[in-house]
Amino acid sequence: MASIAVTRLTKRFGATHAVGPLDLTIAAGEFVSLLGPSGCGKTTTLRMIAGFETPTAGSIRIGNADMHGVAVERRGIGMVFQSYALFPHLSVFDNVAFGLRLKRRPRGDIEKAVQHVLGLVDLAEYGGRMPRELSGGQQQRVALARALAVQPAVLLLDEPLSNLDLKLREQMRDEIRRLQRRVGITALYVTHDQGEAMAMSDRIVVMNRGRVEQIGTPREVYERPASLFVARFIGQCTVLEGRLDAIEGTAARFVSRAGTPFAVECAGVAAAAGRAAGLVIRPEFVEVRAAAADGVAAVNVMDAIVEEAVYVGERVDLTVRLPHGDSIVVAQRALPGRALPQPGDRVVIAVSPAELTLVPLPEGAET
Amino acid sequence: MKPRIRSLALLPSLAIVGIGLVLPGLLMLAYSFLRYVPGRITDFTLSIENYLRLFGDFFYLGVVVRTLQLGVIVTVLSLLLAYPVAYYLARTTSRFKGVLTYLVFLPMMVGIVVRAYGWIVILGREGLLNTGLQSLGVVDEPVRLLYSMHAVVLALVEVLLPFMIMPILSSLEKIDRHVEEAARAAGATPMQAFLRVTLPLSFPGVVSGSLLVFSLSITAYALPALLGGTKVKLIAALAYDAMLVGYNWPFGSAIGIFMGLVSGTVVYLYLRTTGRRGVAR
Repeated sequence: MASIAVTRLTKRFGATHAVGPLDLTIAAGEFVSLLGPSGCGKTTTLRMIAGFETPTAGSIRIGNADMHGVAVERRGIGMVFQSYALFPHLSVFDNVAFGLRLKRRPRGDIEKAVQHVLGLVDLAEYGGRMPRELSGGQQQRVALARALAVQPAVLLLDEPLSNLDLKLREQMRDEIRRLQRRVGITALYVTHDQGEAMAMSDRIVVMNRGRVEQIGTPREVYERPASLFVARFIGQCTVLEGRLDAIEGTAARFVSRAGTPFAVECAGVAAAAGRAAGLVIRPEFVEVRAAAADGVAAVNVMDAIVEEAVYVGERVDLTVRLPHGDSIVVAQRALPGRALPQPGDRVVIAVSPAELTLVPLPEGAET
Repeated sequence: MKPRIRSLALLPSLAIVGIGLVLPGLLMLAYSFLRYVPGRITDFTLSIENYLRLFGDFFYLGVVVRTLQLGVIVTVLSLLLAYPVAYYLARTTSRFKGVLTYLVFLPMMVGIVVRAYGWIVILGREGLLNTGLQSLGVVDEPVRLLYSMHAVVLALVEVLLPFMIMPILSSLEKIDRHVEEAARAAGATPMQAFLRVTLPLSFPGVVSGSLLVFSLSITAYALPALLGGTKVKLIAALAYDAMLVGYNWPFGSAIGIFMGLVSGTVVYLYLRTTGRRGVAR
C-alpha cells in the first residue's frame, strides 16, 4: 500500500497535447477513478504512472520513490487491462504464479500465495484451466488475481469492465471494490463510465482534453460540478446560461438569458455581479407540485407548463417551460395509482437555492 | 451457397491435386518397388533393390545426410535472420510499415534462376566480392566462393527468408500488446517478457516457417545445381540424374518416395507439436 503523487505531469505526442499539466495526490489505500470521454488523456495518465509511457514533463512518485527513469517492472504496480491480457499459453495457476516465479520464491510459497489470491477472486478450483476455457468475467478475475499476487504497492486498472456485459459489469464492479478494501491496496481506476466511477470511487478525477476538470468525492462532483463539462458529463441536468446580477454574501441572484430569476447560493464560487455564468439544475433536485390556485411568492417557486412527459419506470421526466420561456428538465417520482402530469398541464416547480450550482461559462460565451 | 454446391466447387482443385499429385505419387510408389532393367526401364518384377541401394551405398547415404544437414543449416540461419526482421515489422509504428513488409516479399517476384545468376555475379571469380577484396588488398588471388556448399547455403537462405518471415510476422501480430505489458507489470524485464511470453506465443509461426524452409531447401534443385556446381550433390539432383540422365525410373522413384517421407514426417511432427501446445487457435 502506497500513496501516489503526480506533479505537473505532461505528455505530448509530437505536436499533439495529450495530458496535463496534471496534479493529483492519491492517499494510501484510496480508490480513485480517472473519468472522462475517450481521448481525454485518462489512459495515457495511467500508462505514465505504470511506466509504459514516458512523461514529457512533470514527476510521479509512488510511496516515497520518484519514478523518473524507473522501469515498469520495478515500480511495484499491479495492472489490469481491458482485454484481460492473460497469457494464453499458460494455465490459470501459471498466469497467477508468473510474477512470483520471476521473483524466485520457493515453490511452496508460490503455491500457497497463488491459491490464496485465486480464493480471493473465487476461482480456487480453476487453477488447472486454460484462459480460453473461462468466461470473460472469470478471465478478468484471473487478471485481477495475477495483478494482486505480487503484492503490488498500487493497483492500476484500465477500463477492466468495458468488455463485459451490463449485468456482469455491475457484479464485478462491486467485487473489485470489495477486494480492494479487503486487500487495502491503493487503486487507480480508468473508466469512461460515470456509473462505475460513482459506485466504486472514494474520489473521482474528471478529465477532459488532457486536463483535470474537477477532483472530488462522487457526491461533490455530482452535487457541486465545478464546470459545465462536469455537470453535463456526470448525470443529467439542465444548464441555463445567464448572468449574476446581485450578490449579498453567499446569496446571489441569477438571471437567465431569457429573463428567469433564480436565487442561488454561491459559496466557494468566484462570483461577481454582472458576470456570465451557467446555472446547473439537476432534475431530481426540483420539486414538482400541482398548480396552486393562489400563487405562492416563495423563493424559486414558479409556475410552469409541462411540454413533454417521459415515463421511465421509477420516475417521469418532465420538460417544463417557465414563464420567461426557459425549458428545464425535472424528475418526478412515479408512484402506482397516482396520476402523472401530461403535456399541457400547469404545475408549480420549486428548488432550494442550495441545490442549484453555478458554473463558469467557457470563454467567448455571449450573455 | 448450399452445401451441395459448395462441395461441387471443390471439384476442379480436387481434380488437379488428384491428377497432378496423388496419381503420379501412387505411380511413383509403384515404380519404386520395381526392378530396374537397363534399356527397358523395368520388367515389372517386384523388388526392394532400389531402397537397398539408396540406404546401402555410402555414396547415396552421404548425399541423404548432406541434404538433411543443408536443410537444418538453412533453416537455423533463416530463423536467426528472420525473427528480428519479423519482430521489427510487427512492432514498428513507422508509417512505412506497409512498404517495408512489401520489400520483404519483393524478391519473390524475381525468378529463382535470375537470382542465382545474381549470386554468380557477386560470388564468381571475377565477381563483385572478389574484385572488391582484391582491390582492397585483403586477398591477392581470387577466393573460391562459387560452386561450394557455402554458396548454396547463402543463396537458399536469401531465397527462402520470406517464407520464414511471413509466418513469424503473422503470429507476432496476433499477440495482444497488453499481454507483454502485463508481463512487465508482473515484474518481468523486457528480455524476460520476450522469452516467457512473446517467444512462446510466436512459436506456431516459428515452427511453420521452419517447416516451410526445411522442406523447400531439402527439395531445392535449381539453386544447388547452378551455384553448387558438380561439387555439391544433393538429393534432388540425384533424383534428377536417375530419372532423366540414367533413365532409372525405379531408383529415381525410390528417392522421391524417401524425400516425401522425410517431408511428411516433418509435417506430422509440426502438427503434433502445435496441436499439443494448443497455442494455435
